[in-house]
Amino acid sequence: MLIVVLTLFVVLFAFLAGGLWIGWTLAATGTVLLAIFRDIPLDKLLAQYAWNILTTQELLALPLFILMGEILFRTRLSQSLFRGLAPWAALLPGRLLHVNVIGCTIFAAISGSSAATTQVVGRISISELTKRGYSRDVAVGSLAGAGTLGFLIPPSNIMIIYGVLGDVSIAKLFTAGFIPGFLLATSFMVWIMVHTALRPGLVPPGERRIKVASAAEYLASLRELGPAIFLILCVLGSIYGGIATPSEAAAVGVMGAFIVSGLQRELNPTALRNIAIGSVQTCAMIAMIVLGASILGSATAFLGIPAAVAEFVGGLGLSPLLLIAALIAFYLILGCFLD
Amino acid sequence: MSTTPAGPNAAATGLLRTVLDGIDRLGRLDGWLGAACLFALACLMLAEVAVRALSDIFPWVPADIPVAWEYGSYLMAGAFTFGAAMTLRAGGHIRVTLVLARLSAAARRWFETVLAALGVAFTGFLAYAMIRFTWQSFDSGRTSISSDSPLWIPQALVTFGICLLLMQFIARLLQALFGLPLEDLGMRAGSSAE
Repeated sequence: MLIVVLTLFVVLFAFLAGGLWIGWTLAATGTVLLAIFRDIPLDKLLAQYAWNILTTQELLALPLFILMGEILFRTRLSQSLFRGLAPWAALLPGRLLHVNVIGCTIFAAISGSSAATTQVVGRISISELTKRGYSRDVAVGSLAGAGTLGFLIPPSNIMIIYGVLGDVSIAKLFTAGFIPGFLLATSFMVWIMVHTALRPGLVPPGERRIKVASAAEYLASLRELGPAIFLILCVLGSIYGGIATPSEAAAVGVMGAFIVSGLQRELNPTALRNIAIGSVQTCAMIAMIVLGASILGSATAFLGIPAAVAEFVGGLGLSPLLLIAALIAFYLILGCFLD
Repeated sequence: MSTTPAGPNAAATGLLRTVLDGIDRLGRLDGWLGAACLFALACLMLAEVAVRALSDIFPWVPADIPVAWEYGSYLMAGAFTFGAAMTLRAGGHIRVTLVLARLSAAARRWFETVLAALGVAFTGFLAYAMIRFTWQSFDSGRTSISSDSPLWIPQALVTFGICLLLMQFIARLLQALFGLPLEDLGMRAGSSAE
C-alpha cells in the first residue's frame, strides 16, 4: 500500500509542478494508478466515470450560476451596488471601506462564486475608493478578504462541487454556510472599524466626519439597491418560497439577471457574445477539474487508499484539534498553488 | 477571421496552416454549441418551474416535465465538454506555471511540447474510451432508466466534444513543435460591455 500511495504522490506532484493542466493531472494520475496496480478494463471504467460525473443531476445548478455571474458581470450592477451602499457605509467608522464587505455579502447571496463576487464588487469600488483618497492597500485587502464570502454564503458553487465529489448533502452544506458567512462579514467590518480608528490616515481627511445624507438621497440609494434585492428574491426567494429547488432557482436567477441586464440596456450583441463565450469557457474549465477529481477519487477508492490513510491517521493518535490543525496546514500549502 | 494573414497561426504555411486554422474554427463552432446547450438548459429548468407553478392554478397543466432533469443533465454534459477545446486554445484551463515561468524560452518550448504530448496521450485515451462506450450503448440499445431514451445520442455529443478537444491538443502539439503561439487570446471573452 505504501508503494501505491508513494506512486500517487510522485505522479501527482510531478504532473502538477510540471505545468500539466489540473484536470488532466488528476485524471491522468488516477488512470496511471489503475493501470499499474489493477488489471481491469480501464477504458470501460474511465468512460463510465466520465459519463456519470458529467451528467450528475446535483451539478445542474453549477453551469447556471456560472452563466448568471457572467451576465451580471456585464451589467451596471457594480455601480448601482456602490451608489446604493455608499450613503449607508458613510455612517460607520471606516466609511466607504465597508462598501466592499457589505457589497460582497450581498453579492455572495446572489452568486455562488468568489471570483464573480470579487470582480463585480471590485470593478467599481477599488477605483472609486482610491479616487477618493482611501488607502489602496486597505481597499484591495478588504475586497480580497470579503470576496471569499462568495464561497461561504449560499448559493455556493464550491459547495455544490464538494457535495457531489464528497457525497455530502448540498442543502446541508448551504445551511451550514450561513452563520459562518455572516460572522466572517461582521468580523471584517469590526476589523475595518478598529483598524481605521488606530490609523486614521487610511480614511481621507474629507470623509473622517460622519456625513448624514438627506432623506431623498437615502431613498435614491434604496432604489439603486433594487436590482440586487430583486436578484436575491429570484434565487433565495424562489428556494425558500417553495417555488423552486436549488438547481431550478439558479435558472430563475439566470432569468432575473437577463431582466436586470435588459432593463439597464446592456444586452447588445457584443455583450451576448461575451456572456456566451465567457460562461462556456468557465464551465469547461471547472468541468475538467471536477472530471479529473472524480476520476482520481474513484481510482483511489478502488485501490483502497482512503481507508488506508484513515487507518494511518487513526494510528497516529492525534487529538481532534491537532488533526484540524494538520488539515488546515495541508490546505494552506495546497491553497498557495491551487484555487 | 482566422484566414487573415494576421491570424494566430500566421507563421505557419501550406498544409499545416490549413489544418491549424481548421481546428481553431471547429473549436470556435464547438464553443457556440456549448453555449446553445447552456441556454437550452436554463430554458428547460425555467419551464419546469413555470409548469409546476401553473399546475397549482390550472388543473389541466401537468405537475412537472418528467424529462426536465434527465435531459437537463445531458445538456449540462454538452455544455461542459463542448467548450473544452476552445478553452484550451484561449488558455482558460488552470495549471501551475511556477516552473514553466522560470525556464528559458527554448526550454519552455521543449517543456510545452512534452506537456501537449501528455495532453494528446490522455485525451486520446479518453476519446477512445468514450467512442467504445458510446458504440456499446448504441450496439446494445441501452436506454435511460427514467425515460427510456436511447443513451447513445447524448453520449455521442460528449464523445464529439472530447474528440474535438483531442484535435485541439494535437494542434497545440504541432504549434509547440513549430514554435507557433500556443494560445489565442482573441478567443477569450471581453471583460465588459461598459
